[in-house]
Amino acid sequence: MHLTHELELFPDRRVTQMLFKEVKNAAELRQCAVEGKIQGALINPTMVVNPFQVLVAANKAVHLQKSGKMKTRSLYSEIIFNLSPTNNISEAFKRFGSSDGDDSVLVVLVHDKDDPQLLADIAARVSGRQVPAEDVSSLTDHAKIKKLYKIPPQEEKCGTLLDAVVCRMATKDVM
Amino acid sequence: GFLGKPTIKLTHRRTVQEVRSILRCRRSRHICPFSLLVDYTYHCIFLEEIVGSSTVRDHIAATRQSDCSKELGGWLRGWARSWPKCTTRTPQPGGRGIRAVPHRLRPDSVCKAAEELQTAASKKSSEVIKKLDEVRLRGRKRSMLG
Repeated sequence: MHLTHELELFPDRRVTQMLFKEVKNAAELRQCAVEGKIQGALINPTMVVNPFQVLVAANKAVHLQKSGKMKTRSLYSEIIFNLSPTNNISEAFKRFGSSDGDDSVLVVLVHDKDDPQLLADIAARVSGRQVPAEDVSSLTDHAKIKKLYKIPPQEEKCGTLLDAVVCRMATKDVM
Repeated sequence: GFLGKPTIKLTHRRTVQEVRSILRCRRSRHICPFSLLVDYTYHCIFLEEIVGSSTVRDHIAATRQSDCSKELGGWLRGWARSWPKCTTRTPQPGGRGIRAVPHRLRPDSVCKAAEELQTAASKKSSEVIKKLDEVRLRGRKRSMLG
């Protein structure tokens, strides 16, 4: 169900993604994250094209955390911020972070070894149905993403939407 | 070098320029690897690997060797048409300024041919070409003048 990847550049870190639909307690989950009861990033899955996009954001967050150059306060807020094509932090949270009224949520965890208890704790907190993390593509709002990332039609001829999104995420610090 | 191997040392400025150029190329429909991660501390750019690809220089060399001049001409025409979108235009007295196009798109050996094609294709390009020649003569940095 969940997807776990090891980060090649940071072999002591793993990123796990858990996707939930029919979520009834998004507001409560968000509050738990703010209070530190959930050690994870709660992401709006409609703004995600593919789990790889989240991996790139998490990889960059870990890279910046290790070099002491994060722009936000925590690793998890940094992951949300890295998804955004702009350098405005509050806008990033508003667009890519989970909102109180959402009926789906993508939970992203960064941990050092496989931890089934960690995943079980998260699943227990979510009032919703867990589905395979790859299914995030079925929730993607393509039009909103193209508009937000400012992807012109001609760029789609030289790569996928995912390519365009990832390139902007990696490049935004200097654009 | 790095551990005894020759490397290209990127400055911070060059790293930034390359990364911006990649995005500019993609917006203008040029297929090029996308950036995955940029490390501004060590000036590394992690790029997508395009399997089975070759550089523009190698492709042109191979095409010339096999005498596929029509194919090369067609490719150059398409490239020359999109060239203005890849250059930046900084206003300068007396005409347009021309900044560096990403090196992977401008092998020196075919620049002349591309210019000729662009001249034929575009009406106002003589002004642009004249500026380019002037830049070549004096060098890109104005401080290179005596």
